[in-house]
Amino acid sequence: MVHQQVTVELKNDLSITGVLKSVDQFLNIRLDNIKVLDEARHPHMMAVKNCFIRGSVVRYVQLPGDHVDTQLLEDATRREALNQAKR
Amino acid sequence: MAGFDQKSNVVLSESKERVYSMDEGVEEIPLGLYLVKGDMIVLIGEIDEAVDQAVDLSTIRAEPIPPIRY
Amino acid sequence: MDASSTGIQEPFDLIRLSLSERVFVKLRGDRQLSGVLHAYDGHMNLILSDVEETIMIVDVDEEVQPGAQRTVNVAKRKMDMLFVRGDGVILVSPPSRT
Repeated sequence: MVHQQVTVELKNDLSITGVLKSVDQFLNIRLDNIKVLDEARHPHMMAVKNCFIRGSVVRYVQLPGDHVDTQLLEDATRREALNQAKR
Repeated sequence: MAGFDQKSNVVLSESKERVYSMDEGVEEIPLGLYLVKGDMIVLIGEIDEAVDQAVDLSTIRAEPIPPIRY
Repeated sequence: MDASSTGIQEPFDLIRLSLSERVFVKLRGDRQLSGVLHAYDGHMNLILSDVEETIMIVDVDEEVQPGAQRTVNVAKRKMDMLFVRGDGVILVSPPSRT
């Protein structure tokens, strides 16, 4: 999913759109070329071009649907569930 | 940013706090060398200094960003 | 125990059997979602497609009277593909089988 345009919605109701650069084990997110959705109300980040978002404050990530292989996701999830059950 | 760790604690040198309000311009408080705990951090952004310096903070009126809930 | 059997032995099996089906998700902050479930993990992080989110916003009227008027505003929006962070999830309900 890296290098896709995504919208991250935070738990403070801010939405930030940007190009997804990377995600780590904590689901911390690095975004490039960011834009705050309601910029008039939140001018705080005018001078910020790229950022690190702490995973714990994320509510949603909106993804471009046509770039997601849902079959792959479902298979991977079933495999993961099976692995968990074996422990 | 002078340093950071796994828990996204960060050490900032020459740090400044900006307080946004609807009643007056942005108030800037120099803090100096600070360690900020990772739990309290929402976002870390790289500032484009050219853009940042072009902004006249005294003209900016904005609601404080709402707190994180839950 | 045969973990690969389709029977339900643990709570997550219920979610596993809902993969690629439309589920109802209740979230913190008076939000709920309906969408097709494609992925989840042990944190209840979810990936849903064709999602409709409903947010309940309760306005308590300013004039304080006994049994104050409460109006509930409902905001809805649709999203194509959505990752939901598990810490906000309260419940995941499988599709109603008719």
